[in-house]
Amino acid sequence: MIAQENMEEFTNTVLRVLGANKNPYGLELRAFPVYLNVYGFHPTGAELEGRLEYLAMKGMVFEPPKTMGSTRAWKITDAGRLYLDEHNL
Amino acid sequence: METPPRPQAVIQNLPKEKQDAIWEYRFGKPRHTQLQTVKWLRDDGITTSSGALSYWERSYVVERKMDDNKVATDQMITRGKAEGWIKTAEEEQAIAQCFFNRLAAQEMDAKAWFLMQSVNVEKEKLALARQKLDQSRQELELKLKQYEDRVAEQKRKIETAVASSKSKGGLTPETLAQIEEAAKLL
Repeated sequence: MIAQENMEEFTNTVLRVLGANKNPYGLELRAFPVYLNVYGFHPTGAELEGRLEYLAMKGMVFEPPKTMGSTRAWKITDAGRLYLDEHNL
Repeated sequence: METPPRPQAVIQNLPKEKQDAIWEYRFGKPRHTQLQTVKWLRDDGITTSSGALSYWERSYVVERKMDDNKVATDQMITRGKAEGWIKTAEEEQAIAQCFFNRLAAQEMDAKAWFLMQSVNVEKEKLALARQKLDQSRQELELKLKQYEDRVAEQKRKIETAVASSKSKGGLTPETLAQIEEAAKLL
């Protein structure tokens, strides 16, 4: 569980993880925990999905179109990268 | 006016080769503490702090994990194409994404498995300790019971000796010796 006072830091960390992915593939939900653990976060699936949807609403992440039955995945947008740069994250 | 970069971003903005060198200095052989690394960087003209170094270390670990998984994914795609089981760009994209994410998920599963094993080992240790404690408690209760029986027996002997002495009109030296002997054993 992520405490409310850590939510902003958690959101920034989700974005940082996506920002660290320079590969052409999106990050699926199942891949996040191993990276978020490095930063000390152990969110539930619902918390993580909630933050991703929040970031998508803000235009900082997007879901690439699914191909051949692939599962949901996320990538960072230019606006997301700009946010990381502007905040030196 | 341009905002100066936050301290944690200083190392992150360095060229990749320099970041690799910092990692090698920090975790290679011999390892160096954060303070030593901060000093080493300062001598090289890079001003940072232990906190900023920790922040960068985490980012570096994440990027390295992703790079490693990308290398493994690329190798798998190359093999798939060579063996003919990846034919189209769409197949390549779908399989690569699946494999890339699976590698990360597997690593997490391995961590969870290890954690579960550790928990099981601790549980077994606890059960063993509890078993030993129960055993000690039973032994203690048995010893206590034996002691209480002995006390009761000695009391009975003393009472018998006193009653006998009363009937004989006083304590004889033999009776006194018997009482003292019984009292010693209490």
